[in-house]
Amino acid sequence: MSTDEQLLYKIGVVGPTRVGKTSLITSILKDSQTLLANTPLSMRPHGTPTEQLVARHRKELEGSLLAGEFNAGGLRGTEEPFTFELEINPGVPGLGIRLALLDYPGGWLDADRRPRGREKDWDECRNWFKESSVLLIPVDAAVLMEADEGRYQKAVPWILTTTEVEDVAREWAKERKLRHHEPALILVCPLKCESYFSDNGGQRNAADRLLNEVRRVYGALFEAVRSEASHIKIVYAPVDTIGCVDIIRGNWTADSKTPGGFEFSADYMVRHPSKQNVKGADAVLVSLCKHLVEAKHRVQAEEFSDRISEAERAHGHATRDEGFFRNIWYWLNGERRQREQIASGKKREADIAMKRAEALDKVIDELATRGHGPRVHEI
Amino acid sequence: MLRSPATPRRYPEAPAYLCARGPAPRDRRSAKSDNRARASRQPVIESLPPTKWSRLIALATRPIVGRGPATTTAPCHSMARAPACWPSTVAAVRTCRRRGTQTESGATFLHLVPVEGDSLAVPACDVSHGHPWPCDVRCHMRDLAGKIQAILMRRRDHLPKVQKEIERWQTLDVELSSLEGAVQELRTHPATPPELKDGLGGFQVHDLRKGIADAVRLLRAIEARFSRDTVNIGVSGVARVGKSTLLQSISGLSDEQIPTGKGDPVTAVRSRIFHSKTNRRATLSLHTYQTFRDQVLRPYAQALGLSDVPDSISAFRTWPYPRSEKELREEYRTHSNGTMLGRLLAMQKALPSYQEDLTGGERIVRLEELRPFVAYPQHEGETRCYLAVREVRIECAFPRVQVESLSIIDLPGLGEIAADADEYHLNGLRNEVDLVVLVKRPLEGMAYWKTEDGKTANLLDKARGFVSNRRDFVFVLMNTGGADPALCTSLRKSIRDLANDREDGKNFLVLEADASDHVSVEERVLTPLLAHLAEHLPAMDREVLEGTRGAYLALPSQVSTTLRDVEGLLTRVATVSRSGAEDLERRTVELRKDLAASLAALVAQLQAQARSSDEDPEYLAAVTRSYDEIRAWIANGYGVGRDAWCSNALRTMRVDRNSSPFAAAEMNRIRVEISKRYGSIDNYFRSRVDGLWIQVADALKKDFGGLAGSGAGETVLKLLSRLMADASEPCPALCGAIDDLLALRLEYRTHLHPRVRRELDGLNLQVTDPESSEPKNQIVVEVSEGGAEELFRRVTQLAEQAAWFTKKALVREAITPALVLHAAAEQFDDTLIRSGESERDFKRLARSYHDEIWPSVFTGIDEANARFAKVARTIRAIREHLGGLERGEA
Repeated sequence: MSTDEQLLYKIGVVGPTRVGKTSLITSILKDSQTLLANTPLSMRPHGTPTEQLVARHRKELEGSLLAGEFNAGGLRGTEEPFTFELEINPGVPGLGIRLALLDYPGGWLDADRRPRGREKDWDECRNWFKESSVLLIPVDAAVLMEADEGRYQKAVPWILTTTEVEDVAREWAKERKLRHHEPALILVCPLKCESYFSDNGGQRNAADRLLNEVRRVYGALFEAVRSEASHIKIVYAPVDTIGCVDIIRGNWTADSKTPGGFEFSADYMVRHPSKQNVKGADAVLVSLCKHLVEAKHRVQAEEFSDRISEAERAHGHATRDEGFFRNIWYWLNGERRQREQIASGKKREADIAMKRAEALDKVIDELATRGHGPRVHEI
Repeated sequence: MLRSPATPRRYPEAPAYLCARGPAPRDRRSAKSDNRARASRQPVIESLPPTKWSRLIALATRPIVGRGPATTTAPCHSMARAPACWPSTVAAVRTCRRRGTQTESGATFLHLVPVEGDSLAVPACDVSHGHPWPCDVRCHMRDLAGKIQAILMRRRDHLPKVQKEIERWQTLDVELSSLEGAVQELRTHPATPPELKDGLGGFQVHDLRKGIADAVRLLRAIEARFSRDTVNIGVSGVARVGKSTLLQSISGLSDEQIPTGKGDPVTAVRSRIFHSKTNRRATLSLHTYQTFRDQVLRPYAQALGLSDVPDSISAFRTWPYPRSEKELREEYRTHSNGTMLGRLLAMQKALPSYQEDLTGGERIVRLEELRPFVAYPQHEGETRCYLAVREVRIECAFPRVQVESLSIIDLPGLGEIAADADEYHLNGLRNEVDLVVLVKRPLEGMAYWKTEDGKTANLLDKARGFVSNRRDFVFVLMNTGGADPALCTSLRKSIRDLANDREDGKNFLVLEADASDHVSVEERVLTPLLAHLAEHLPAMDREVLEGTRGAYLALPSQVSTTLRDVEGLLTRVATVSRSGAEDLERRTVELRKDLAASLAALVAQLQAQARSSDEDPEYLAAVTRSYDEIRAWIANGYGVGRDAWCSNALRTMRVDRNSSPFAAAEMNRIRVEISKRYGSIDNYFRSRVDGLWIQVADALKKDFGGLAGSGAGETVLKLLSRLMADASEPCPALCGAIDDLLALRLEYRTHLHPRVRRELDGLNLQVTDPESSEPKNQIVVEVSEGGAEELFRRVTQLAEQAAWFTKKALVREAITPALVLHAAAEQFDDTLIRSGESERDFKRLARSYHDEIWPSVFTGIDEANARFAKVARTIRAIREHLGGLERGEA
């Protein structure tokens, strides 16, 4: 996180290509106002490029749905890194929280697929991850759930690049260990979950199986993270990024060039009415906000503490007995008044910092009362 | 009263058949006038209410016991006006009770006194205890008919049990015969130890089999008795006593059908006369020459001391019989034999007149043509057709008898042919007649109880069989028609003194009637006889049944004793071959251990498969194959082609103006088809089960050697199962284990379909909204071409989805077949090796088939043991059978 006037929180998104990183981010952003309704928070894209990208992605998706079709691989993949910049307003004047999510070509995770000459870019990505207090791990739920045969299940880690994700997470966790005073959060977000939950128009409920699959496939990652930094919070939050689609079948195509031996794709049908209905993104967003507000609160509390110390020091300096003659001299040349003005200013600053901290306290309390819903589990 | 005024009647004071010293018959006219006078003198008692009538009847019919046999007849001593419910022709009723024990019920007769005419005696034995009173003889007869019908019905209830008993005895006979053969084989075999040979030397089942044959014969007789549709009354007596006259009176037939004669005997053939309202005919049962020879010629030859009988008709025609009494051997030269020889020669001479009738079988003739077949010729030279007739069945309507189920059997004059012939006839009568009437007639020279009568009574005793009381079975009828009263008295006295040992009714109950007077016969013969039968026949049946069973009661224990003797002998001698037995036992233990090891390895292998997370590639291939076929079928427009499907959809939707009916029907059809197509996985399951059978069979073959044959898998298991079941010492536990394994079935429909069925739920038009819980149609399209296309697209998506989900579920359940196979093999292993009966059955198996399991090891010992085993097995079978007989299982 930077120490700008408006702090910038970095969020890392770690997932393979085509998993739906962009979709997850745009899902979070698209309806942020709706998702954060009934909270003291509000969020908006920060800067035109982010707004443009969100809008473009949304249009592509809506066009596809209106045609009654949905092709998970049909949306344009991310070809160049892009930083989504957002701003969260906790409702406390002067305490806007800026956050930035780095989207990048998922293929870069895999050294074998990473294009030559982009190592430097990937290093920057890794640095970004290290500086992030939140790690978003999007997971393709269909890959987990449609791998019915053993040979497909063996291909799952390759397709989801679980080893690479685990490496990133482990590195990130080590960094978090060094900053153990800072909150750290991993959000595991299975995406394209429409076919496995019955709370968003679907007919089947395979929620337990999905959770079990996530635990099974990402178990090593969770253990690695915990072993590096036990204070890291891991939240499982499945998301329907589309909402109105249902899987028809999974297609496992043998490909000897692929490390796992199989490529996966899925065919979907669009449920009527063909309208996007994101589900589960609110839990992600709220978890994210809660984490960021808490982080901000910590910063604010530190600032308040600093301000109080400074105010006390200034007050002591202003009221310190300098000896009779020096006291008269300072009074005559205005030094004493100047000192008192400084002390007064420091006290005002301390008061402001205290009020902000108190205001964030309230926000945290309010967010704490919001449940995550039955989909979300803390792992 | 049903009586013709033109028919004068005579009624004694008490029933004549109960009255050894009743009044002598009087002139009919004087009897009638007496009755009229008596009727006018009768003090008419005031009308009694019905309850008083009941009491009166009860009093009148109450048996009086404790006074010993009575010899006198009580006078009639009560009279009452007939109740209103009786026919108006009956004015009053007089009861007359015979005290004593002559009949079990006290034998009361009621004398119905009509307003006009003679009184009528009706036995009251069946009207006690408030039973409705018969209003006249006809009514009474109908009542008797009902009772007799009921008795006949009850008889038939015994039939199945009797028949089963016969079957059991016959089976036992066959088994004893087998045992005899097995013992004989064992005894005569050179390898059999001498000790055993000696012991078996005394074994014989001849007496037992003879006893069984007797039991079967007796049971056959009972079967015949209980199968009858009629009660049969036999009429017997020497010639010229009026048997045929009596039969004419009963049947209404004439001399043409039932010949009578003044001198020589005229009835030549045993006749059975049945009351039939519908038929009027005679059915002749004809001899073949063989039966004629055995049943007619041979008794004559034996009686005359002739050494042989002719084998054929032609031989008989020229057979050199003695031409006179003088040519008989000296000891056979008697007057009666001379008569018999004359008859025999007459038969030979008349052969041309009946030889064409010796055809066997039956022939129906009109009653008018019957006489030559049943009567002796009246003149020399007439045909003797009767000789070809074994017996005749006559059906006609009895004019005065209302008992449908009645048959009268005319027995040819006893003592007329030869003693053996008499016995032959009587043996035939055993259980064939329910009662015999021995007719006597008080003619000059015959008005006494002759020695021949005693012999006849003795013969009838044989026919009586197990009926304990001669008096129940034989009635003596004194035919008083045209007889001198003095001779009647003489005969009556002779019967009392000689037949009844000076005590009335001691041995025989005596009836008196004029055989030529059908009314007299009806009222004084048939009515009391039928009443007697109605009362006593059930008890007689019971005695016959109990007597028959008593006759062979000891037989099962005799058989059992014989079996025990043989078993004991086998057990003692079996120790001789102990070393062979010990070797066999050791090998059996090893066999069981080896088999346990083989099966354990197999079970472990199956367990590893069941617990392994590895998939069965063949199962996956089978599922995938079905899935691919389903996808192809879907892609092909559900078997009709996309265009045809859409066209049909559009047409149907247009008819319905709605897409839902067609969509619902098609989705149902597709769902069923998908499920059906996944059913083809059964081929894979069959191969898995076959595979298990092959593995198990291989394990068994390894240790069972040649016993398992040269087949594989199921063939081997079936063979072993059959061999174990059919072993000389059956092995039910081992056989059961194999049968259970053979019964193993792995089927998609029963094992997997229930688990994956819900995956097809999406293929319903109507689904439940998971959020609102309201039903909704998941597809609705426009009724248009585009709508039909859209319907196809969406139904296809759902069909594809259902097929995919089902496939996934089937793959998830892939472990199930392995689990089932493992469980089946483990169960088989447990039952075969570790069940409580396993050790016992292995020993049995080894004893039964050691030569097949260990070829050449037990040669010699095996053969000997096989012979032992055969005897032991037969004894065991007999024992099981005997148990059923002793328990009287039906």
